[in-house]
Amino acid sequence: MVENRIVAEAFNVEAFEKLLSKAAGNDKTPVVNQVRYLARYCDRLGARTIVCEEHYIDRHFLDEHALFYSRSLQPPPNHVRRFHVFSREFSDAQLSELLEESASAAGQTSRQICDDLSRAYLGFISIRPLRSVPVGRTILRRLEDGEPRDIWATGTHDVHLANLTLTIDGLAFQQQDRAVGACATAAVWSALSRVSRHEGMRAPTPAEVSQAAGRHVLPNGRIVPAVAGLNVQQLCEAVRSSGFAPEVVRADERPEFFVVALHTYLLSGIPVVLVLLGHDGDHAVTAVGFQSAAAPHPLLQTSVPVRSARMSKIYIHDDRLGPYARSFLHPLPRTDDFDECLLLAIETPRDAHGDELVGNGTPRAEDREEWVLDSAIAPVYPKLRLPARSLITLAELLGDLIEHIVGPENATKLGVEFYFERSGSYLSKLSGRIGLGCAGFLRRVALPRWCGIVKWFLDERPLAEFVYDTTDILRDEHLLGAELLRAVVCLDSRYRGDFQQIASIFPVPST
Amino acid sequence: MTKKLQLPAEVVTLGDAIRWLREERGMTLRALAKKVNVTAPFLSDLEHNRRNTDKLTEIAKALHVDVAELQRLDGRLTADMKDWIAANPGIVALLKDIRASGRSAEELRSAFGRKRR
Repeated sequence: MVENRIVAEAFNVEAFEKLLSKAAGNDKTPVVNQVRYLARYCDRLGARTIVCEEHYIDRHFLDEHALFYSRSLQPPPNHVRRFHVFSREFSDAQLSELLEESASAAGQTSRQICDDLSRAYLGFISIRPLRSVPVGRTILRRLEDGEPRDIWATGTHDVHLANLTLTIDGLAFQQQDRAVGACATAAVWSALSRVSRHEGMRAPTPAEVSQAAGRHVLPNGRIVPAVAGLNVQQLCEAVRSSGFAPEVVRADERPEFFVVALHTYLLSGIPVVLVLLGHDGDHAVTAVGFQSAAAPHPLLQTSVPVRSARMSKIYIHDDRLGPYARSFLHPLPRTDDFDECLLLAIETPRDAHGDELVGNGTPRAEDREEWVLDSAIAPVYPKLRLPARSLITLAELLGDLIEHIVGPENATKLGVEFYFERSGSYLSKLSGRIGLGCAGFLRRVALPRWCGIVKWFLDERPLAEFVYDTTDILRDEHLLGAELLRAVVCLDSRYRGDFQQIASIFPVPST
Repeated sequence: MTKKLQLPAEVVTLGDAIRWLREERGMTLRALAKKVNVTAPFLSDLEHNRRNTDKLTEIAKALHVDVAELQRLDGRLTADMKDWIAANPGIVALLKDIRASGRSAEELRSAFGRKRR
């Protein structure tokens, strides 16, 4: 008879590491790197208690099982063990009390119990019954670096533990199993899991991603087992099959524009698959977030003062390491022998014991593994047709006007960044930012599902946002983007008159 | 009035120098582009060392530096230089000898006994 068993116990790094390994049926061979990483990551998140669910049907693993493992001579079980991690201490007996309290309480009180527990909830790790590749669908809270301006393309998930509904903000991670999925499968699956949920769609499973990727072209041979990996064309096909448009940006054309695009999509909450070139082959990871340095990098500057030139640290889901691994962006100038390029230095374990798998402080140069960035693939809503590159052009077209408004004494303090946002969410976020008298604006403004925003700053202070239609492309630069501009939102009352004047020329609603 | 150019060590190329000088003088890229009558994207490319320009005199003037100082940093071959080298094959042989000698441009200048401009 199928029976679940939910048990709570105190968290301890070494014990947790062994527990995860044992859950995968591995108590003899060395603990895999990803398990070490996860145990240490949970420790750094402040884990105090773990709750193990012995029998959990994870549809992502179930699909892998159906596609591959169920047809093996010795198939493993079709369920996973799920480990929930909490930053609050509670015993197994106290967990029973919580479950009972929630079951007997009225709706409001029950919700309160879940909300309280969610504040201490750090996420979950699924362990597949696959000895060498145990880490299945895992969503953990992100680890803040303690420095300003961490941006994350993550989303909120409801997690059910018995009768409790917990919430966690994160991005799904899993280790490639080399049977159903390669590193690129895991990378595109992570990105699609975020955007699908955001669009109210069902997230594809790794098996669905693999099958979609290999539907039309097989340049490296069979898809299952996934030994050869996927190329960019196959990744695009996987994205397209899931109902999204693959926006591909190459890093070797103009590195600064590549970084603008990466910055834009991450700022828009869209995880980006990064294709990397290395000495021993290619690799793919998912960019989840970034952190900015204090000063812009000269090689990342463009004709407008883009804030993306400050992007220095990128957080990635690297299936060889774990979720939210740190990597560093290094633009290299053109030399006699090489074209300009972008290097991504991924922080790697320092020693065989994996003591620094999560990273602590600034790592030494030898603890980083360098890859050349080849391209980025952002899965975008199909009607979001305006690429990030066009937003730079739109900013460029109004650059002189903006400099004129703030005056030469302030012009060097200008900064600009770009993002895409669902219009409903954009308009609701305007509350508290645009002041009274905005009813007329809100009644007049007409936006598509996704709008493109060019946001100007004076130092760190938001100045104004130009809101564009993304359902068309930029055709005629002489019109200064008039055919796409839908609204002008002034965020600095000192310049309200100037921006209202610009809006009246186009003419579009303004605040 | 022009000044003797003093650049930090990390400023190596012409593009680096233009960007550094522009920022030093508190000038935006667009403001400099307007002064020398080029587009901002063109000037951005110049700062990335992706283009040559015949506007070096105007740029030097706008940045208040001696044009020769900027020319010294311009490592890219202009069309007329390429023509001149093509017309004088001995130059290529001479350049090969110089490279084989392993001596820096600075050492060669002092070997020639010429004062750096």
